[in-house]
Amino acid sequence: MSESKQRSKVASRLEKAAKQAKKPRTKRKQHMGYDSDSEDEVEVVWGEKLDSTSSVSGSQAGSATPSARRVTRHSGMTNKELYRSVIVNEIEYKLGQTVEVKSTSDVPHLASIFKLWENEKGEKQVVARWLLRRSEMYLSKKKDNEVVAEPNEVFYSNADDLISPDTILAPLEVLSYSAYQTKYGKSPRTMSFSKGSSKTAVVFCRRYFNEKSADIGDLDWDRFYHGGQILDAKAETEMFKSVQKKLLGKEAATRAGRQKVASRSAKNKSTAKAKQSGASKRRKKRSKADDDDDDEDDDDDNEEDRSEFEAESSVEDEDDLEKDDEEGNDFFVAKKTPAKRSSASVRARRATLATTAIGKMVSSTPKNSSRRRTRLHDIQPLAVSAAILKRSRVGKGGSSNAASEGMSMYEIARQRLHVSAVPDTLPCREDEFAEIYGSLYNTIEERNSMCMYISGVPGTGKTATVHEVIRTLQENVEEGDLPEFQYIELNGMKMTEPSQAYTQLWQAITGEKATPKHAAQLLEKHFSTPSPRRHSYVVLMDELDLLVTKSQSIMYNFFDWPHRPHAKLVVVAIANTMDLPERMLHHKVSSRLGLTRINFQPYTHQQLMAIVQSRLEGCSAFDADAVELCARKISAVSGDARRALDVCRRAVEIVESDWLRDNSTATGKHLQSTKSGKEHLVTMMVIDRAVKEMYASGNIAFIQNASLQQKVFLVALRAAIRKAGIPEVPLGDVAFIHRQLCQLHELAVPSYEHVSKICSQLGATRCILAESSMLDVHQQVRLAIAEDDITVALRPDPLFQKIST
Amino acid sequence: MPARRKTLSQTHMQMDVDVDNSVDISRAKKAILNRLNGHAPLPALVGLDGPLDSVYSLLNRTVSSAEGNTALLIGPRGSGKSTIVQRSLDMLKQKHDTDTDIDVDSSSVSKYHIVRLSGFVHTNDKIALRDIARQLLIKQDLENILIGSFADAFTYILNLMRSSDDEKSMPPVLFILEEFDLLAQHPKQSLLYTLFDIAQSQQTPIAVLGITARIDVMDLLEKRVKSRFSHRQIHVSNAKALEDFVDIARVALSIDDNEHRVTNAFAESFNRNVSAILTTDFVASFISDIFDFGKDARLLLRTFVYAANKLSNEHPYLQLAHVKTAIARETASAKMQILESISLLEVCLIISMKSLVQSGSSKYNFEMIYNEYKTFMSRHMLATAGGGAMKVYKKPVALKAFETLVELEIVRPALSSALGSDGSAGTSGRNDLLAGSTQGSRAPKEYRMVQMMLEPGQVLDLVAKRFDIPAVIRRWAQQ
Repeated sequence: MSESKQRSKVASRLEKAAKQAKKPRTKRKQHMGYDSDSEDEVEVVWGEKLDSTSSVSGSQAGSATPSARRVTRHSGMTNKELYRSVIVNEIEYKLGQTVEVKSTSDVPHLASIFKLWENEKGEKQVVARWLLRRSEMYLSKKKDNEVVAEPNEVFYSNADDLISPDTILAPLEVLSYSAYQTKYGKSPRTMSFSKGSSKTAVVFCRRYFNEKSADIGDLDWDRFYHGGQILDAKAETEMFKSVQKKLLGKEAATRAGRQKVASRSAKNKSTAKAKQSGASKRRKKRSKADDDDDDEDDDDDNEEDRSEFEAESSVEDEDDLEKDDEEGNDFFVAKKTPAKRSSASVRARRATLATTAIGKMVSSTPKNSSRRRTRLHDIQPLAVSAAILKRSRVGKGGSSNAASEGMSMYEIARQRLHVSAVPDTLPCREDEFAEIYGSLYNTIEERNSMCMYISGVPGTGKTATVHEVIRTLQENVEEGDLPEFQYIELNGMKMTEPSQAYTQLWQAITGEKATPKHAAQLLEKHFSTPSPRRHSYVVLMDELDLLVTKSQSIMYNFFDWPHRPHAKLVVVAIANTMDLPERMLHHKVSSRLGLTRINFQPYTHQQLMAIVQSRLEGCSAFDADAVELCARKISAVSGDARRALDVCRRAVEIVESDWLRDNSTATGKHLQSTKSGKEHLVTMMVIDRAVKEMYASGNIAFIQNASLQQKVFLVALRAAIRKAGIPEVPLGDVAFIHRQLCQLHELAVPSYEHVSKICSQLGATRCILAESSMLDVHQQVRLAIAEDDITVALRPDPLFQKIST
Repeated sequence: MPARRKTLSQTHMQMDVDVDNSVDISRAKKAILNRLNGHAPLPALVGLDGPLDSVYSLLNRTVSSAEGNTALLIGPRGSGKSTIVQRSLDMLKQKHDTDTDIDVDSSSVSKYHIVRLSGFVHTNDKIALRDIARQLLIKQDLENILIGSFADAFTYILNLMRSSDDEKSMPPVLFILEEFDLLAQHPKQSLLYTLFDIAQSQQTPIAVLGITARIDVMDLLEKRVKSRFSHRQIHVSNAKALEDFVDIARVALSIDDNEHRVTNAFAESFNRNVSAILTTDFVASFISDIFDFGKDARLLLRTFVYAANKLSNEHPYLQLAHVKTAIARETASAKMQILESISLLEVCLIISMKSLVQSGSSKYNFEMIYNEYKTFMSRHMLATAGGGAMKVYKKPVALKAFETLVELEIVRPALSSALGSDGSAGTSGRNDLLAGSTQGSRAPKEYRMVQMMLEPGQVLDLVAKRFDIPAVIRRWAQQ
C-alpha cells in the first residue's frame, strides 16, 4: 500500500469518525427525550492567550497525565490554542483557579482549572483537575472505613477530565485547614451551594488523593497552592507518583511474570514493527485505531489492516510512555522514578492488548480460529496465567478441607457433584477466562469503557467464568494492582420487564430508587457528564435476549453508554444464542455492541471428564471408566456441564440406595458379615442406568402402561390417519374404527361416550392432541407421539400384533 | 348368584342384630366417604412404592442435608401423583417431628416450609408470588410486600429466601407445583427459572417438585430453564394389573378397628362384606371394564359413593343393589337416553343425515336432509306399491322435527372451519340456528349448514335399541 493512498484513506476515515461522533449525540437526545431547556445560554470568551507555546505538539500533549492524554486522544486533535484564562458569564477564571462545576445533582463538583485550550474545531475546552469530596471517592472496603473527612473537606487529586467551560458555575475558595478553623471555628458547617448563585462556598483542603494508587496523604495547602499557582511542584510530583510502595514481597512474582511476558511478546512486537511503514504517519494512524470502535461500518478495510493498526497502537503506547519518561516536564517527573515498574506494567499491558487485538481480529474471521488458539496460548499474558495458577492453588487447599468427617463417601460425592457446589476453579475454560480477564483488566486499569458479548449454549460456564473473572479482579484491587471498580449484576430473567434494568442499575450505583423512565434519564446524565468519579463500573447483563424490546432502546442505551467519553463503564452481556446480534438486534445496536465477542463452545467429552474428575478429587466413589462414559454420553447430546453433574449425582444416589439395601439385608441375615461394609463403586452400568432414566422419553412406557381400550384407541387413530392421509381426523371416524376393531377382535365394544372419554384422557397427557370436547364427534384429533412409538410399544403384546396386521 | 350374596349379607345382619352399632356405622360411613371423595388419604398406596420412595428421599435430602433438588412427577390423571406427594410430606413430617421432640415447638415449626402452587390457581407470576409470600411469611405483615411494585416484592421475597438474618438458619423450602405444565406457560417462565436457579445454586436449600399429567412437559421448558432443571423425572403409571386395581377399591372401602374406633367385630364383618361385594361377577366385570377403559381410580371410587352414602342402621354394610344402581348410572349414556324417546320422523331425519355423511358430504342443510328422506320414501313407495302403513310427512312437519333435533343439540350448526376453531367457536355458535343471530343469519334456517353430533355407529345403536321402528327403515339405516 502506497503512503499517499494510506494517508487519504486515513483522512477520509477521520472525517467519517468525526461525523459519526456528532450525529449520534443529537439523535441520542431525542431518543432519551430528556430536557435540555434547563440549560441557560452561557457566554464563554477567551481571556489571555498563553504565549509560551502557541500550539502544543503531539508529544507534549502526550506528556500530560495519562488520563489527560487519553482525553486529548478522544478529541482526536493535536493542535490546540492554549489560553491563560477564560471568561464565563463575565467572570474571569485563570489557570489554576478553583471553581465549582455543574453536576447532575444540585451539589456541584469542585475542580481546579488545569489547562485551557481551543481545539481545531473551535471548541473551547478545559482540563479540570478535580477536588474530591469524601463521598465522591470510591475506596476499597478496608480503606472506606478508615478515611473520615469533614463535610467541607476536599481532597486534592490527580484526577483530570476534559470539560466544557460553560459548565463552570462559580469561583471557589479553598482554604487550608488552619485558615478554615480560624475563620469558621471548629463547628462543622454544612456546605451551602446554590446553583448559579454568586455566593462562593468555602471548603478546605488538607489532604491529597492519588487516584492511581488510591493513596491519601497530608498536604499543606497554604504552602502548596496560592492564588491559582501551584507553588510546590515537587510536592505534587511526590504526591502523584504512581509507584506502589508495596511492590516488593508477594507482588514480586507477578511482576517477574509480567516481564517474562513482555520479553516473550517482543517477538510479536518486532513483526508488528516490521510492518510499520513511516514514523510520520503514526499519530494519525493511532487516532484512527482508537476510533476503530466507532467506525465499524467501514467495510472497506480488511481485517489484516485492522490488526496491524491494533498492534501498532499498542506499540505506540509504549513508545509514548518511554518518551514520557525521557522528556516529561517538570510537573510529571513522576514517571521517571518508577521507570522500571511502569515500563514493565506497560509491557504487560501491551501484551494483553496484543492478545485482545488478535482475539478481536480472529474472532471476526472465524476460519482461522485454530491459529488463534495457538497464538493466544503463545502470548497469553503471564499475569493472567499467574492469576489462573494462583486460583488453582488456592482451590486445592480449599477442597481438601471441605471433606469433613462423619460423612460417607457417597455423601461427599453427592455434595461435590451438586451443581451448586461452587468449584474452586473452572477447569477447561482457561482460554475464555484469560480473554475476558485480559480485556477487563486493561479496560479497568485504563479507566476506559468497553462492551463485551459472551454467548454459548446453557450450562457451558458463561456466568461462572465471568464471576470468576470478577472475583480475581476484585482480588487484584485489594492487592492494589488495579483501580477500584464497582460490579453490578443484572439478570434479564429476574426482571419483571426489561425497563427494570434502568431502575436496578441506578439503584446499584446510587442506592436511590427511581421509576424506569426517570432512572434512564439519570443514567444518561450520569454517564455522559464528566464527574470526579474515578472508579469504573462493570455491569454484567445476564440473559440478554430477554432485554430485547421492540424498540431495543434498553440495549441501545446500555451499549451506547460505554462509548461516552466519561462513562468508565464496562458492559459484559451474556446470552445463549451466538447470533443474537445479527438475528434480533438492529444494526445500530449490534454496531455498538462491538466486536469483542466470546463464544463458549459446548464442552467436549474430555472437558466434561476433567470437570467431573476435578470435583471428585480425593473421592473414590467412581470407576474411571464410568466418568468417561458419562462425559461421552452427555457431550454427544448437549455438552451441558450441569447435565453431566446431574447424571453423576443420580448415579451416586442409585449406588447408595443399592448399597444401603444390600447392607440392611445383609446385616439382617447375618450380623457378623464383614463383606457388607464394602461400598459399591459407580460403574458404567450405573451411569448407563442414570442416563437412561434422565433421557428416556416416557412415551413408550406410557403406552405400555395404558389401559387396553386406550391402546386400541391409539391403534384406531393411527389407522384413521393412514386412511385419511392427513394428520388430523375427526373423533367420529376414530370412534367408528375403534368400535369396529373391538368387534373384530372380540373385545368389549365401548360406547361412543367411552371412546370420547378415552380421547380426553389421552388428550390430558398430550399423547394425542384433541380439540375441545364441545365439538363432540367433529373434534379433530391428531397423534402427538411418533407412530413408531406405538408400534414399538405394542410389539410385545400378542393381541396388538393381531390387530396391527 | 346375586341371591346368594343377599343371603350372605342377611346372615351378617342377623349376627350383629343384637349389638347397637349405630356409632360404628356412622364412623365407618364418615371414614369411607372421606376417602372416596378424596378428603382423606387412602390408608395404603397400591403399587406406587417406587415413585413414593424417590419422592420421599428427594424431599428428605433437601430437608435433612440442605440440598437443592428439582424433579418432575409425571403420570396420567388419577394415577396417584398428588397422593404420593401428600404421603411423602406426611412421612417427612412424622420423621422430623419425632426428630425434634426435644426442643418442642419453636424449632419444629420452622424446620422446613412447604409452598404449594397450582397452575390452575396461580395463573400468572404475580399471583404466584403473592401466594408464596403468604405461605412463607405468614407471621410477617404482608402489607409491606404487597404495596410495592411486583419487582420489589419479587426481590424482597427472593432476598428473604436467599439470606435470612442469621446466616444458616434458613429452613429449607419445599415447592410443590401442581399442574406444572400450566405454570410453564407463563410468559418468560421466570417463576420456574427463579426456582430452578435457586435450587441449583447454593443460596437457599429448596426442592422443586412439579406434578403434571403431560408426558411432553420437558418440551415446554425454555432451554435456559431446562438446563437448570436437573432432568429428574419420576414416572407414575396406572395400576399394572387388575388385582392391584381391585386392591385400590378394597383398601378404600375397608375400615380398621383401631383407626376408626369401631368394634373389632364390626370392622371384620364389614371388611368381609366389602370383599364379597368386590368379588361378585357384576362388580368384578365392572371394575375390569374400568380397568380396560382408563384405569381411572377416581371413577372406580366414585361408583361406591352412592352405596357408602346409604349406610345406615338398616344397611350396616354396603349393599350390592346400591352398587349396581350406581354402576348403572355411571355407565348410562345421556345421548342414548335422549334418543330413545324421539319420534319416528326424527329418527328418519337422523338416518338421512347418516346416509348423507356416508355419501361424502360433511355439511348439509335441512333441504338436503328432507330431500334424502323424500327420495328414500318414494323409492320405498314404489317398491311396496301402495305404501303400506308408512306416511310421508310434509316439509313443514319435518322442519318442526328438525328443529327439535337442533334443540336437543343432536344437530348443530356447521362450523365455518373445522380445523383450528377450538371450543370457543363451538360454544358461541351453539344455538344460532334457532336464534338466527350471528352465523349465517342471512340464510333462512332450512338452508343453514348443519352437522350431526352422532357418528354412524351410534345411529346403528339407536336403531337397534328402538323396537318401534319399521323393518324398512331399519334396513335403510343399515345400508
